[in-house]
Amino acid sequence: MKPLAGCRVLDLGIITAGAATAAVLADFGAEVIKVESPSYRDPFRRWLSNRPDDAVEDLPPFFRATNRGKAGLSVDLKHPRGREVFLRLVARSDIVVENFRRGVLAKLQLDYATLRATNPNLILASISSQGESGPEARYVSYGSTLEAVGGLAWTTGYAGGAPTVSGVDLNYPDQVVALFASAMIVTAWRARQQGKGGAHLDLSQRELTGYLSGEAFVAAGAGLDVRPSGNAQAPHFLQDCFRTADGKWLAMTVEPAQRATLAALLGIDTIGEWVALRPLEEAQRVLNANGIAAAAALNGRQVLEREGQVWKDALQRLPDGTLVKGFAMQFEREPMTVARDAPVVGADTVEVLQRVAGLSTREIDDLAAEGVIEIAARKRC
Amino acid sequence: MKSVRPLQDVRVIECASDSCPLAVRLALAFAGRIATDLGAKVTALRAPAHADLDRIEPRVAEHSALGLFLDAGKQCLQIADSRVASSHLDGADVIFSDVPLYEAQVRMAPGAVWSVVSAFGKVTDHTLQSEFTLMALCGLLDLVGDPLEAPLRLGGHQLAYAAGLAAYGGAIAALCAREVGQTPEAVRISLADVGVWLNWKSVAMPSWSDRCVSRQGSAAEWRTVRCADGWIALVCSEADWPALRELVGDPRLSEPRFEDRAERRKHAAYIAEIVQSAFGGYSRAQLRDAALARRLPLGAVWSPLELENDPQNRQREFLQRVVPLNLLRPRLPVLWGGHAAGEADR
Repeated sequence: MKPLAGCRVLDLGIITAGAATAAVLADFGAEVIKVESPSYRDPFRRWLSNRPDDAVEDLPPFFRATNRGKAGLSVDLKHPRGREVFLRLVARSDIVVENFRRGVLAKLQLDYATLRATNPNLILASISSQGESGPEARYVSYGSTLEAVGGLAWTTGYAGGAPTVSGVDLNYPDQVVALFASAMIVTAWRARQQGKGGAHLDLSQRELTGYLSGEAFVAAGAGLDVRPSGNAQAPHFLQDCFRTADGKWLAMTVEPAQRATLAALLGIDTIGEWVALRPLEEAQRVLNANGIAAAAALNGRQVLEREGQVWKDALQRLPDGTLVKGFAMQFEREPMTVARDAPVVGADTVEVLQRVAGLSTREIDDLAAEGVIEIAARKRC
Repeated sequence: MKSVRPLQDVRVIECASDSCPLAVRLALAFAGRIATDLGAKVTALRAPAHADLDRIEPRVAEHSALGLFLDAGKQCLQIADSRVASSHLDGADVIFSDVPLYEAQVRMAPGAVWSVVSAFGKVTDHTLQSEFTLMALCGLLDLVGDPLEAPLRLGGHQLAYAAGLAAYGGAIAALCAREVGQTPEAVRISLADVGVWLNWKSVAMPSWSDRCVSRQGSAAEWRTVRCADGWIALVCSEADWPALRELVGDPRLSEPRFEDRAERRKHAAYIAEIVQSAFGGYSRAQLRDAALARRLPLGAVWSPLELENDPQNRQREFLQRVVPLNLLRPRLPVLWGGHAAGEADR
């Protein structure tokens, strides 16, 4: 199924939040053109550090993972002719996705008013740290910043311990926003299809992080004490991870109705003692046999090994075997597939400028000679 | 603030079988919550087996905080059992359900978009899992907390709600397709796939390199550190390092070895100690202002109650007191042409 067939997206998104949002739109069948510049690359093209040793190529795994399914265009938006080219594309597109720092689009004279004047039906999705407005609109953040300022860190942590963030290796808010932002864009696309025109979607990641803790606001607002409770969580009688005899961690959830079952199983031992006496596999088997949810707390490598057993669609393989982001949802009859690998810089510049912007070969050559656009020497298929 | 209701022409049903696990029901309810906020008419069919949702602690005015958040604005119908009558599904555009109910009753509403949530999808029929143990299987627990202590969950119901986001997103996409003449088809969402999708970096990383990440506690590059009146999230990218070093002002951070991010990662606990020592004399508000001035991604850890009076939230009217219970509730986190999406009475 291609719900967004016929829809063209200009993707100014970078790193995860913006780029992964546009990738979901590509999965839904939209034509997504990733727009970079001769003077500005998506930082995911060189994420680990600025050390020369880390600059192995412009298609590192993180970049490929979040930019598969897209075409690649490189045009200098700071250059008057580059800006003119971009606006020609805007006139022939449906959606623009961006997650620059606030103020960057305005500085490029590409704010919503300008884009709308070019294309009144355009949907501009602005994904930002704090939103378009407010005294902290220019606050710079990464996902874990938002966990702190959005209220999630306050409810995450060991009982009596410090507030905790998911950290650089998960960076949770930057992952989850792609699900929300893409869903709002598709909602706006539906409205546009009904003749309701374009829209500017102001998507604040900080607000999303708070919304995902909605019940904590309800409780706190009513005067209840809201604090980290470790792994314990209502309505469960017991929920935690315990170390097994073979040094692994077993996660379990025991329901109130299972108290007697658990007591009979443990005898005089505490649950921690009982688990510590058994290897993980045995403890899990016995608990599961007694109707208690229990599973190993796996690391990334172990999760990867369970492809096809625990998960199926979340990661996909490119033709060369490289793993990239897959799908958080799947259509039953006509499943989504990853249409193509991520583009090298400027991979599709010529094709996009000819087909979409309607430029002649001569005009394209002039732009390239002036350094306004980049044309890739090689193109990865 | 004026509100917009882009889904006011859409009718949504939220339903689940008697055996539906809580994690899946939370995902379905969250998907319905989003549709409600966008103006859809959402009816939640609740069998007696599902009455527990409104009894979960903590409770506010005889309702659970969860129920007050998830069910706001919905029509909640108590039904005798989960065998949903065809009359309930008549005219539904979107149905959020679990797998058993979908398989039993899809014929009653063949023209609707079914968005179907499960624990594992089709890869296994083993459903004896909770949201917590599913997070364990997706590697989401292993990444959070201290390596000397138990793996730790994120607060709230992050996996279930993320699955709810996927269920809503898939449903609205399929609805678009239906409206341009494509045959309606079901959308499948597995909590396990959603968890791995969120955790893609650590799961895919071993296939790209020898690196396999795990929680690092006090040695984590990004973590919380104490300040005068609470905690600050110490978050710093490669480009932010010079500004952080300048803000902290401790000569130890100017050692040449710390120009290299790999070295900083190796000595993250040492660096955090230095930062914590420097931040100890400043409040969260002072550090927020300093971060704003230097464009640093440090994050003051605010409590949900503190956030009610936060200047940013107030200006954007993100948190609202809602009558008649005077509840504090977040609006849908999108402004649509400058307007909130949500209930008309806001």
